[in-house]
Amino acid sequence: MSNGLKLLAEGVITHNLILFQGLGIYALLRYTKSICTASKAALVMLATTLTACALVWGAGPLMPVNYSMRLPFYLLIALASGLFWYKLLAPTIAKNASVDLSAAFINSALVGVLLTVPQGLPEGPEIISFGLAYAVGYGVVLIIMAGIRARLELVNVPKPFRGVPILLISAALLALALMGYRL
Amino acid sequence: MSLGRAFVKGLWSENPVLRLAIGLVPALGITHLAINGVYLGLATTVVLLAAVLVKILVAELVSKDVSIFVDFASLTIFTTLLYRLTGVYQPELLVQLGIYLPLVAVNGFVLQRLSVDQPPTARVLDALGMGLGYTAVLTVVGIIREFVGLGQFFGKAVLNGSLTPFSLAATVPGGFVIVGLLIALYNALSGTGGEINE
Repeated sequence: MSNGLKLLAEGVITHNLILFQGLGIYALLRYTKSICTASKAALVMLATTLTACALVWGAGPLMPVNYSMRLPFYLLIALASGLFWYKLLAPTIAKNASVDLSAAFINSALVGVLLTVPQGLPEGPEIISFGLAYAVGYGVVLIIMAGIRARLELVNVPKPFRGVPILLISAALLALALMGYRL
Repeated sequence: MSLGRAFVKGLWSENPVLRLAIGLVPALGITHLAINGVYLGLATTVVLLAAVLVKILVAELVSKDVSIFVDFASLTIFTTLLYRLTGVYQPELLVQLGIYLPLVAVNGFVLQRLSVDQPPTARVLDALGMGLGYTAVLTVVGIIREFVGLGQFFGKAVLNGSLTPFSLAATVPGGFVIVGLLIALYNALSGTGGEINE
């Protein structure tokens, strides 16, 4: 139980994919226009990550021992998981969506989780918990950033800082706030 | 669009990082050392060019629906090849780059450039220009972060104790701030800003 909570705290706070590893920035910039869009992107990430982690677990015995030989497997697993959920969810998610969410199905955060698995040493079902914790952390940040972005719409930001710069600086401030937990 | 314009636009007017804000993962994650920025930028350019050449070669043979699989297959093959070559010739750099080198295969910038429909020559020049523009920005971000965060220039200490480095710049949140400020500077110079390209 305490290990599970520790893993969750790592995934959400201390080793957050977006804030502390710089992964999934495309989603941070494009899918935080509203909390609804951010939630959809978070849901897609959760589904694709859990499926990909289950596939990594299932394919474990077939995987080459050499890390560099495993790379194509991880990329193919990410692709398979992304395409599976794309076929399943894309029509539902596209309804009333103001943003094209197709890039959410295969992104750097998903592949980043898979590539971190062998380096972080979790094995067996722990891989699923690992994926769950990191995907939840990813979703939480997207939803928080969507809230921050809604507030930013109400203030007068200097023109050069509008759009990407103010979002990146806001994300940095959020990361700094959470950085205290890493000490 | 002229061939010259296809090459030059990636350097400034449609720079992937500064204007299009795509492929930001390496800029934020791993450019705390300038050499990482140079290597990842060049690696991304090489993989993109190779994938573009494959796309041109098989364009007549595969339908549009299948071409995405060809793109992913070629990106996977070239990235793995590059990873192994780096491991053989630059093992220390491979350790430094960690997961960010394999992530070239799913770099948003590479995927976006592969999806743009253009004539073959323009496609190659576009990939080369965009890749060089991308490399230039990653290098500049790396130089700034390494200097401010570690007091070094390409691994050589330059501050020599006269100033204490601001180590936050070498972390990912520091990268967010520096890239954000660079994009704001670009917006101020080019008169853009306010919108995020989809």
